[in-house]
Amino acid sequence: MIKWFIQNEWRETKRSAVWEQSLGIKIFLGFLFSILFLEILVGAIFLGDKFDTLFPDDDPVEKFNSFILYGFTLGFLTRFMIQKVPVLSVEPYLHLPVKKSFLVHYISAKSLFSFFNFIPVIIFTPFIIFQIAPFYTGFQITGYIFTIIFSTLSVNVLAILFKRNLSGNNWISGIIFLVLVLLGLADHYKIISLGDVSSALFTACLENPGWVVVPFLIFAGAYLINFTTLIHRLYPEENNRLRRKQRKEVSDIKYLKQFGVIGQLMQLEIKLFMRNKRTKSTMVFMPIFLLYGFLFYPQDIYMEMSGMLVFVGAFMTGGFIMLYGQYMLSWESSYFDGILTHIDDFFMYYRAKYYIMVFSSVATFIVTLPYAFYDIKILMINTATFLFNIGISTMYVMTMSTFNKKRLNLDQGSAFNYQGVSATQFLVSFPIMLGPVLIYWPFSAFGAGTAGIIAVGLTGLIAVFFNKSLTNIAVKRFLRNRYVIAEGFRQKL
Amino acid sequence: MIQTINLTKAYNTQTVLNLPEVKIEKGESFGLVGNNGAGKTTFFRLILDLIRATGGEVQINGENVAKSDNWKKITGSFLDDNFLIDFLTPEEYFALLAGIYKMPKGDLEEFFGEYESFFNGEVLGRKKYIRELSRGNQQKVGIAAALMAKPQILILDEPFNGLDPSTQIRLIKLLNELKAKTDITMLISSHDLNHVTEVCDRILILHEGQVHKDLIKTENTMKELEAYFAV
Repeated sequence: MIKWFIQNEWRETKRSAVWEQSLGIKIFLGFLFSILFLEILVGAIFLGDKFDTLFPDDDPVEKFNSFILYGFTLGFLTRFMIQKVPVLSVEPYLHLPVKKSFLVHYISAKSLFSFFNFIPVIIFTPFIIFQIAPFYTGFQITGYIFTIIFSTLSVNVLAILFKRNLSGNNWISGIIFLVLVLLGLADHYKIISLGDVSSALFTACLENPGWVVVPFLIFAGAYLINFTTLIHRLYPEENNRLRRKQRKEVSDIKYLKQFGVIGQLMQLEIKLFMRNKRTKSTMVFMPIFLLYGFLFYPQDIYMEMSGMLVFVGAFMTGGFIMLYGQYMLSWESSYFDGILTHIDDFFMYYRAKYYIMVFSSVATFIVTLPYAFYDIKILMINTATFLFNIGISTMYVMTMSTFNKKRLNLDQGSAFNYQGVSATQFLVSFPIMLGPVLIYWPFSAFGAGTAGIIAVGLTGLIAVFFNKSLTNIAVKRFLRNRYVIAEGFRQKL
Repeated sequence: MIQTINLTKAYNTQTVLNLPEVKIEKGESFGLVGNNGAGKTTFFRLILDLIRATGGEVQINGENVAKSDNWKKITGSFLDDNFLIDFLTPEEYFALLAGIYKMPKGDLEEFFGEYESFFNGEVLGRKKYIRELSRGNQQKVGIAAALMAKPQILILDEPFNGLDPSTQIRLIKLLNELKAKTDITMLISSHDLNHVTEVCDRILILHEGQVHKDLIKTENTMKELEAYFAV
């Protein structure tokens, strides 16, 4: 039976519209991942071989162990942002004579084969060979290996548990996040040392392999919680969350009415974002984006690196455009045929999207204004990146939107619906984040940093002046690609 | 009014639709029947410019639908739930379309009144999003939406599917009234031969993407249809 399931999964992935993305994107992603893999591998071998010389004053094993907890935390956050929660729309199998527990074990087990679980293997293997193997017994090494394996798997399951609950607007997840942030701060200000804790924990596991039960129990516990929550959510009816409570009518924004059809379309877009689970959970990232400045501005090292500040500015003021633009058109995939038959002016259709992005960029820009208290040049940089974003980034995502042909299910709530979070969408984000830096660098290389910032802003401003003709480029592409897009959107995943 | 010129649609090398010349005149009520895979939905999607024709074109009022958008203002259509914006309430959905069609405000109220009995109290004022309605009620929303802008051309793909018997009868009545009072051109596909003969004056049997028979309705039509579909 497992074989049959795996075959179905394989077919589903192979036949989804994603793979029919252009060859170029596939090659680029493949390249990106091989480079990443190679870098990690080379880095790991270097680290493993030379670790004792890097920190000559410390015991290499204890020192190495002190980093593990940070590593896992980083891994947790990365997984939370990027890793897909295993998707298997189990609904078609529910009426078949397949045990529910089998279905849940299957989707849980699937996630264990994630790319992320192999990174620790790459990092730890050289270290164990070079630094641990010569000094410890086989029994101890085996225990250590299992400690690492179970810890990795715990992180894996916890990240999934977390991600699902957060999308279910679970308060507990928020609290856990807060605890993580507080721990980070406490560590930063040397109130407690996570490094020492980490070192003590993992060294103990190495010296006394009996401790391996602890990570095992954490893993087993997390798996069990995951299992029980999933098995109770297997009822499609509950997944759809047909809550019968009285609806709070979102009153129409009267102000938009005066813009005629464009206003109506903007209003539709706003409702789209406020009423769907998928969109709501995406917008959770907005505040995180806006708080990004606090990571960099308080630190003098970064304040010296103005290239970094340009990047941070682009990231914050372009956050919404990125989140919204990644899936532009895909957001509307479930009613796209309706759009095509009802709308006879697609310039106007894109115009509505443009205004949404401009208005929200203005809003995010205003929110980032107080960062100027750190340094007045932040204000200048953020203004420049803001102009770049409303000029260039808006047009870029609108043009890129015509490449989107992946259907998104916005309405199916909770557990089994997390399609689309993949590296492809990051392709849309890179130019938005890096574009301003690329313009800035040549200027700053010749010592003309201020001119660089002005150039970034000016580029945006020029694009703003030509926004109508630039929109037309996107519209033309859209009209050419409309059949392909609509065909992709009709494919229900 | 609607005309195909050497229209073909192929997937890979397999031709799924080949309609060299089908003409539908103004005011005609045109029924499309055929077994699964005969190409009914494909034909409608081609008329609505939702898929690209492999060869030839569809013209509405002499204009290629793929090149011009003028037909959109006069055409009302509902093929499947890919037309419905399911996170809106039915009222909001209708209001949005009224805005897009630039209907005066009073017309929307009038429309709600006209369709009250068709909705049978199950659609309006329920404070539910379209996605929370049953399939039959979603179908009603889609059909009503296709009709609301008083289109000159109406295209419905299997409109009777999923409707309860009372609503099916109401829909037949509604369509026949429209036919009598206006010069609307209707294109309706259905698997229910009784329904389609009750509404349509001309019936086209599609067989593997080709015109098998093009019938003007007489007393014998039903027999001819039954003869074709008999196994």
